[in-house]
Amino acid sequence: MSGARWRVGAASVRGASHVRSGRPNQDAVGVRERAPVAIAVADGHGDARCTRADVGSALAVAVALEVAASFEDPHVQGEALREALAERVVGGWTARVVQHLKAQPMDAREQAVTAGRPPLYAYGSTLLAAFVNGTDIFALQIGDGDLLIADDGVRRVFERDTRLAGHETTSLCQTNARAEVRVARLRAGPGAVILAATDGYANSFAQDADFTRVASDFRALIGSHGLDAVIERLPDMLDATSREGSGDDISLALLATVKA
Amino acid sequence: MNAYAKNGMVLRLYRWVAILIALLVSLAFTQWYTPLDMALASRFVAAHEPAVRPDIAVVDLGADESHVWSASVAFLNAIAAAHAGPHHVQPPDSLVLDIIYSPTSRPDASVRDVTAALERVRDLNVRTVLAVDPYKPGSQYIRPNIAAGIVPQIFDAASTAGQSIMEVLRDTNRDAILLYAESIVDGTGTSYRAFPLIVHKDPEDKEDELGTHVPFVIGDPARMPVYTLAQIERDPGRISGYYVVVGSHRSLDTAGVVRGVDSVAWAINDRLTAGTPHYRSVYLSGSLVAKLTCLAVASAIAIFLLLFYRTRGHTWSVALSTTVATVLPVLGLLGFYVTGAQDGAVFLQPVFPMLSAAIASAVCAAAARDLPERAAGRVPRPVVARRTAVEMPRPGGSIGKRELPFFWICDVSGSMAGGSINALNVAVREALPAMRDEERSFPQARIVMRSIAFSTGAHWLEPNAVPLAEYVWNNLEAGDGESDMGAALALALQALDSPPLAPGHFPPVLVLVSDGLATDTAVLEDALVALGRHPVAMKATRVAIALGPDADSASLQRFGSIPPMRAEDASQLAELIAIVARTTVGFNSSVVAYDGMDALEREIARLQNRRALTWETPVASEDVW
Repeated sequence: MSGARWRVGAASVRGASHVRSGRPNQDAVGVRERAPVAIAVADGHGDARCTRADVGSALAVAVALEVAASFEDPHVQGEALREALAERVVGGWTARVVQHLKAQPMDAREQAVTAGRPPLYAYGSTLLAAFVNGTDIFALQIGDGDLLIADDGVRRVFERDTRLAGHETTSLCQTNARAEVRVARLRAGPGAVILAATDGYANSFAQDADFTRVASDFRALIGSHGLDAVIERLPDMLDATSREGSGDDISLALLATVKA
Repeated sequence: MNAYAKNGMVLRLYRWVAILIALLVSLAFTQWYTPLDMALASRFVAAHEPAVRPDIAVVDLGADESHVWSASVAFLNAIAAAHAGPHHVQPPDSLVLDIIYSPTSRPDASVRDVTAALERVRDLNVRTVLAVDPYKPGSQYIRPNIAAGIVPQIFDAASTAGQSIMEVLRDTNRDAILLYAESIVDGTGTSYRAFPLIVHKDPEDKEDELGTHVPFVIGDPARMPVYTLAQIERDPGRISGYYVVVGSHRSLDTAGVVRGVDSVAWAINDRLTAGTPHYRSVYLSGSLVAKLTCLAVASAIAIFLLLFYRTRGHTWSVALSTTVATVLPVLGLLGFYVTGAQDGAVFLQPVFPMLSAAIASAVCAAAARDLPERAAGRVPRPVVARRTAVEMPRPGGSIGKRELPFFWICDVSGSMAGGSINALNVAVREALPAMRDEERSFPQARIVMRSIAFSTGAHWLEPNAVPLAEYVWNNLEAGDGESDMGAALALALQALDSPPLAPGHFPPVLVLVSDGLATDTAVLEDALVALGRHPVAMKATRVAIALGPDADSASLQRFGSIPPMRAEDASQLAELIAIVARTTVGFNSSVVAYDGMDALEREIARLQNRRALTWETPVASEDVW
């Protein structure tokens, strides 16, 4: 990809229904602008027992960006690669959560709400991340949400988990979370755009095709207006989408190639 | 490694510094005069000035506390404004301005303010007197300063400040009496001596015209009574003139202040009105009350916030920084109001603490944004995009709600005839409004309804799913047929394919209500097996309600994704259906995989317990951990 470089941008908006009900934005989003560039989004579970889901999602994003920053390509494929990344992400997240719990123990009210569940459950979150390492792009996902890649066409990096119905998701807080992490090594064509979004985005569209079109639309917008202009408009776009659509928090991160 | 991870310690230090700044600023605020004091002075003038024309007004502009100073200027302004207002209030004959202290600490600002105030009253035909406050350290203070030439400098033509005052005096065609006094303590008690000095409008003439001391003794209280504002309000007719002590001095030596001003006023009165006492003194004690009130309110807010954040498990630093960040702007607003209320009398001192307050507030607010996720000090700040006017189309195709299919599967066999079917009809009809409410609070879903009735065979009551908003429940009637539950479930299974279900639908809800044993056992067995294998049915929320004691508990148990529930009578059925309808619809937020039914079960149980209903079987929720 000579003559082009990767750039990132992101935004997160509080869902219209969250505003109405007074719930916070439980999503988190983060980017790493310096090489190796990286994007990450996370969706804290809305379950009432996940009292610290917003912290869990923020920690998930932080860990993903740190993993991206210090990642050295093990030059392995398949399951070995998956296990290596899953261990670092899930292990790192769990350690952070334990650290947070130690710093801020649950009070009686939280303990009552989360009764019967391990403390990690309170921090339940999904995670989607992508980062560039050399000529390769590494992507990982646990839980719902979508990683789309748009170059000549649009495709999902990971197909939807057919085991899950609309309101279910796998999570970093599961005991078998390492096994649930999906990892991919990708190559992207010139002008490619990779998009990571929490499920509130896809759920806002009537059909899946309506949703996947966002990737090619963003690619076109970035091509015509530039990434910075698109990022500036992103909160408004996501706000409108949430308001008219899912009402859920929406977080979106973009990884795009731009001319150097 | 993000910036927060590196700078966790810096962030904590940042918070504590912010708190320290905030506390110092708070202390500074306690030295200020408050809007309440201002209001009190204006109210007093407006309420009492019209009653009589006062002979004399003494306004204590002394003391180097900025709040007292500002209130005094406000009082002068209030007199001027009242006179210019619709009531055309008469100003006092004489106005004594005690201004000597303040210029020593803030000469430029003080003189500017006095000049502005004098300009306001110069057309009121008031004898303007400049006086020296004789109380406490003042008497010791003023003499050496006069000796050193400090006080006269104020009236010196060479002094810019003094010149501006003298120019005003010249314009008003008034002389000024510079009067100072001192206390004398001897074996008989405390007495005061006043030293009136006439300073002519001609700045060149600074001689002590009288040159003699005018000794006097503070009389008994009956001769020179001191009234509080409340007393004046009760009996305004007793007052033919007044002089006013404003402010709460640092020493809070109210009696001393009043006595001191009394002595000055008495001496002036003696010279101006030939000893006829036409004045009373009023102490506007509002400033202390106002300050304490403000502090009490701020403290109450602070205590509430501290407890709120601490009980939610946040650290002291987070709780304190958030509290300060919340309370400071309130105090800052009061400070700003004071400055604004002075009508041009802007001081240097209030600006600095206000600036500090603004900085401290911003710093604390920044620290408070760490709640709660950034409390660990290592979480990156989310990217916040700026807004521009560039218009762009919204990416993606049509936005729309996803369907949430909801099926009623109702037993209309012979055993349901009579009370049971009537109870079912009433229960479902009554549950619909609650479902519509639930749908409104669940904006991503559009509920579509469809119903199956089964007796001998099963049939759809509607050919296609109907949006909840348009859905009407038509009363079912029970005949004398069998109870072909298997046929009903087989029919339901067909409806779980896509199509007829719309793509991207939410997991369906199936509610089965029956009061007896299924008669098509072979079909039922096949249907239950198929139900357990159908990908959509497996994810569906399946709730069985057993009506009465004869229901087919075993089949209902196998049907449900949670244990079946029993309703013993019509009212229980109505409540149960209402609970099930609401909870299953609302239960659609993001939850951890394979945990949905468990949570639903718990929520229904909670609502049931509240309504003293019972489970068909004990809840034995399986923990995925």
